[in-house]
Amino acid sequence: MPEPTAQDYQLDPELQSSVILTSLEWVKGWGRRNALWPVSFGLACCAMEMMAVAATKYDIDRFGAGVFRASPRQSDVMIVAGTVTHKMAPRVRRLYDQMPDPKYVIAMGACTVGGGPYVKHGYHVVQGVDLVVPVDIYLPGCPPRPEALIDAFRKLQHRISEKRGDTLRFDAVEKNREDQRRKAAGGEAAG
Amino acid sequence: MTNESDSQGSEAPPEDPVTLRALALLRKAHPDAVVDAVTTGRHPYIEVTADGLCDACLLLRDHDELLYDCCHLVTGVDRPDDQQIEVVYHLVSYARLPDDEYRKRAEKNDPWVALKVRVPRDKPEVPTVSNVWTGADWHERETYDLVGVIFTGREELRRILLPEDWPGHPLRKDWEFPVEYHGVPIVPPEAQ
Repeated sequence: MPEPTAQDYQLDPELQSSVILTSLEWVKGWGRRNALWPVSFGLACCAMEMMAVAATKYDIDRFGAGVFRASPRQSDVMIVAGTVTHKMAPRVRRLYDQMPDPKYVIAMGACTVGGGPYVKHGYHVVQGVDLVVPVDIYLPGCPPRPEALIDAFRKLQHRISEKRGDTLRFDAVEKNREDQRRKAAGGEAAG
Repeated sequence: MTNESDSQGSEAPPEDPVTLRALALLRKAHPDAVVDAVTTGRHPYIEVTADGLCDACLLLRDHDELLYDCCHLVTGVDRPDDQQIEVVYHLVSYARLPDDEYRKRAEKNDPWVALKVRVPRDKPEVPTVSNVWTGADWHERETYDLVGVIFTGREELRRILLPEDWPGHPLRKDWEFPVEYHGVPIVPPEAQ
């Protein structure tokens, strides 16, 4: 079937002033991006800046993201605010798994982006939360200013309306794990 | 004037009165327990034997001139060159805060006396002091968790910070990073 052209959508001149044509997807995206409900959980000092963003001075509610839910089952976006330790990583993953689709993750602060100051000798810190959950927005800073978190939200809203979802590092790790599983299963079968 | 300053420079460094007093009383009460002591410099300490640790701690806590009523920290130092593990106790006396010598140190923010115990690295067993100061309980669990010191004579010596199934004790000098932990890959510092 050939692509529809502008000619095909030509409206009756009388209707043009009163009817808007758009796709249902666009309307869904508009609704999603303007009502992002974050999970209310913070892991370390970045959580302070996240709280500041939710409070009156910065007021993330202006962008529709101020309804911090106490349950992951009611949330759309997870702000991983703070150092993710190896002990905490399975809990973060479980919270992520409990969130309904579509879901988004903001990695807030240097620790969650790539291990931060602990990346080299910190035996206890996950070297980037994208090894545990797929990340949509990386927000560096130690900790990032509230304005930066607002910017991250705006960028996330942009991505939602563009329907972009590339979480490269997590996908690579998942593929590696899958390969290892297959290898292990193959090895067992052979043995 | 110049002579005075010269003589000051060549003098031995000042002895620490707080550690000296504790050391004198310890030597008098338990002469076998004290192994060594450093009473000068920024970090004076008294080294005691593992067997004499409990007696020494009880004396430091209960003696009227000492009254160290708070075990501020317990920590471990791995010394692979000597094949030893050193356990350090910092004791603080809140009861003796009005004491002049003590207050002088408190103003400099270091009103403690330090105890050290050295044990062999392959059998790092130290008697517990959690029955002397209850607060030492969690410190001992942390020292076990990170350095692997076994504290004997106490209940439930289990990890406090790291997960239960964590491999080894990470503050040992010969500890090596695992390749991964529960599916999360770890890049060791040598590979970075």
